[in-house]
Amino acid sequence: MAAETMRLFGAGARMNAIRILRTRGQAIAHTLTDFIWHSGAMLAPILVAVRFGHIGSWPVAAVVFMLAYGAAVSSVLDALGDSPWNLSQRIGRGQLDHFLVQPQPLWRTLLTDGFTPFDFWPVLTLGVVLMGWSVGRLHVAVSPGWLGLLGVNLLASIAVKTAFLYAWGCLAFWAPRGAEEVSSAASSLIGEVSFPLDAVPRGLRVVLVSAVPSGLLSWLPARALLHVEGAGALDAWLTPLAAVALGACALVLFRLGLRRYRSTGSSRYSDSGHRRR
Amino acid sequence: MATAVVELRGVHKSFRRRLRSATFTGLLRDLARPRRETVTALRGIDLTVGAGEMVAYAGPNGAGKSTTIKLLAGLLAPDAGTVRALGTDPVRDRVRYVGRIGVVFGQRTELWWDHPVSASFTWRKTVWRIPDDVYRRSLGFARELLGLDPFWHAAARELSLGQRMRADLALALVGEPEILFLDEPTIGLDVLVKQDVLEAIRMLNRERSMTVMITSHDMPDLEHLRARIVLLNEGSIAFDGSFDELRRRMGDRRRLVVETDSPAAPELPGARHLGSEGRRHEYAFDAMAQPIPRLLAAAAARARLVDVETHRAPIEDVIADLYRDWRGS
Repeated sequence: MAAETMRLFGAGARMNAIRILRTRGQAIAHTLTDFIWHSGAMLAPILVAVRFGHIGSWPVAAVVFMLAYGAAVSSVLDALGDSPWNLSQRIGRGQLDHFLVQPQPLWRTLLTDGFTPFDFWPVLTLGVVLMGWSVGRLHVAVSPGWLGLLGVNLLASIAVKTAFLYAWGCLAFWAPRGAEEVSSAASSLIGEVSFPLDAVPRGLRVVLVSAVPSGLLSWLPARALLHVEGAGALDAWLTPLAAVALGACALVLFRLGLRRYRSTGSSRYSDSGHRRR
Repeated sequence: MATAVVELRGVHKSFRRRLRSATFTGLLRDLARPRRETVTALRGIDLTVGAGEMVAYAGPNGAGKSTTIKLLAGLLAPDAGTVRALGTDPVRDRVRYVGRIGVVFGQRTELWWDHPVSASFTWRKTVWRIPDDVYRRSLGFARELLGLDPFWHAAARELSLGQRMRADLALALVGEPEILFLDEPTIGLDVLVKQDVLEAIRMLNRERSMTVMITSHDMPDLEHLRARIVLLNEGSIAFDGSFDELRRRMGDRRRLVVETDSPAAPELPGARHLGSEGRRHEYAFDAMAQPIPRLLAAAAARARLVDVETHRAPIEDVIADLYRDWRGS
């Protein structure tokens, strides 16, 4: 099962390389613009932290760690392909049919479709390097246990965002045209946080780690892993826990929706219709 | 009949459709109390297709053609009845089943849009787990049959519609599928490309004994394939047989073109005047009810004939009459 999944990732990587490496100019421009775009987004909070020496109880290196963590999460998620971002479009436009005629389990097709590792390696590299730098500056005791917890949290943050996008994208099973763009709207909603959320009112903070879990994509895991002031002892397990809960919700919704899709198909008779290409 | 590879028994499929008003009050009423109607796409379809058969699946718009292809491609589940293909249930055994079939939807493409055509084939080899020797053999065959070499390295988005369809068909052939489902594969193609595609499909069936099930609105295309024709009407099979049988059942419909010395078309008993171009007048008639010699004698008695020709009515006219009959009934 894992070997087959890796084989499909390999096929996706090959297709990605073919697209990126069409011309030398294209390859350079593509890599550079992506890098500048993401590093530019990190710059403003870092400059604020440097100007004041800290943001709240977060020293500069901790702010850098949080932003680098967020960059790593989003780059891995981006590399994993289009499906979470475009699920509602795929359903609404009847493109799920293309997946269903492939002799692969649907989960594997969704996981590996549009795998683009060459698009996002610069941002991932930037994220990993900056995390390493900030951990060194903060004198964090890096043990195998801590690294394991970092890995679990990174995976959990990726899973949280994926599950959130899938849960919203599933709406398109019931309203194919009305909810065709809901995935991209949901991805705007759950954007990365640029500043630590400690100063945010408690009620809003609760929303940002539950209903719209932007806080779980970098702020809460970073605070827990770095033991920033205010972090609880068990906070490092909150994101994995949320990932399980949200993942279960998304899975249930997706299965219900898929059952409906099997019954209605991408037919022009279904409510609100499916756009025909 | 050869071993059955497709079996539909009592298949029903219907869809619920929401009715909408165009007025403001109607829209508000629909919000409060939505109105729905049921559209029945298939009503108790029974169909068996043997290995190596070529079946043309035709019918007017909304007859249920595409629904049947989707059921057979594992994309839809029937409301009632059973669908079996290659001895399996296409929905329950989807992963194994779709690896043994090829599907082409004429209005969609399986090609990677921004990639060279060749890349889509290597991708398919991986995803479909096609062994090297089968891939080499089937790719060589498909490339030659459909003439892909001139645009093999071009991006899919740069292809003309005809090239795209040839590439899509070739893609479906890689891996040597046991059944080929083609949903409107000639839609929008020019005459020459259409002929190439149809010839390729015919060759696949004739020389490779591939089972082919094809839907199209284009009756001359389907007749050209010399396929068994299954005609659907409002979700039921209205005719299942050969084109010759269909023509016999519909009568010996023919056309008579007479050129006279006058632009006025003579009235011929038992023949319907279709139109005139200058002094050439065209008529439709049923040669079983109105034998040709009698009709010619009537024409000669009413006008001075310069030239005469007669030929069978195009199959699309035969079918159009049939559809009109169905609508009338």
